[in-house]
Amino acid sequence: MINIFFLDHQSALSHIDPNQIDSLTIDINQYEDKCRYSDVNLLIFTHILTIFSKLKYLNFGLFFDSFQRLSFGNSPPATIFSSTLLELHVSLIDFTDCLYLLDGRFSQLHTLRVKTVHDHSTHTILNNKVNYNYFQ
Amino acid sequence: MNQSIVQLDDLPDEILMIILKKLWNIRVLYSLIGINKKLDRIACDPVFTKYLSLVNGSSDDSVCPLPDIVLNRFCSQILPKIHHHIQQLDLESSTMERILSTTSYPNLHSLRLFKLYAKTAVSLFTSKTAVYFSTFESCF
Repeated sequence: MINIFFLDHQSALSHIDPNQIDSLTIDINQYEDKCRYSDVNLLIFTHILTIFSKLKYLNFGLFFDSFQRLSFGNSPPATIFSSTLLELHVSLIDFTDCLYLLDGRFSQLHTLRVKTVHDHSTHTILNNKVNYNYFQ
Repeated sequence: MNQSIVQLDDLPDEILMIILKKLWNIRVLYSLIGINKKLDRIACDPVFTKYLSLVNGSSDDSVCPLPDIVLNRFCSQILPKIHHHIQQLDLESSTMERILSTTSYPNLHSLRLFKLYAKTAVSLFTSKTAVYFSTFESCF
């Protein structure tokens, strides 16, 4: 169980209009609490998609050995979607998480680059509503 | 003999551009901005000011901040002069806030942030600072 409390402060990004950013690369390499890295990553990933509403390119997780991996558990939050994103690079824990990303929530996506830590899937959902031209 | 010495800014713009394009643009900006009007104009060309990687280290794995002396000059003199040309910025954790708050970046559309602390990343994208309390004491 983890509780996250927020204290108001001025973000460094408050100097920039999020709508002007169409390409974003985020490299997180230091986790204060390594046990909960997955929750923290999901929180950050979700907020990025919400705040940067015109994003076309997102690179979330550059290094295979970093803790910057995403896992969606039984279902990803409905807030994970984008109608502008064209290219997504992510590191995922499980291949099932990859299938979640392909269920139509990214309607314009044409390039998905994924690194997975485990290649076994305990369950699969596949409701692919989008024609993807390129799968890397 | 002295009359035959050609100084850098005696060279035509085209030749200067060919030479300077071979150099790291951060070094070009750091060396030339503020010297004289001609070198200012050349250094402010989009070739040198469109994409700024304000970090040290070429490979992603060895990213570290620019030296203080370089960063100080960028924040006080260079960025306020070229800010409207900048379209892409590479920043790292410890100097990111300072660089972003130095000036406005009206044409910035691409941002690459390296070596972030998870806590910093949460606070960046939620406009709030997260304080974690976990019941798993073994995690700490």
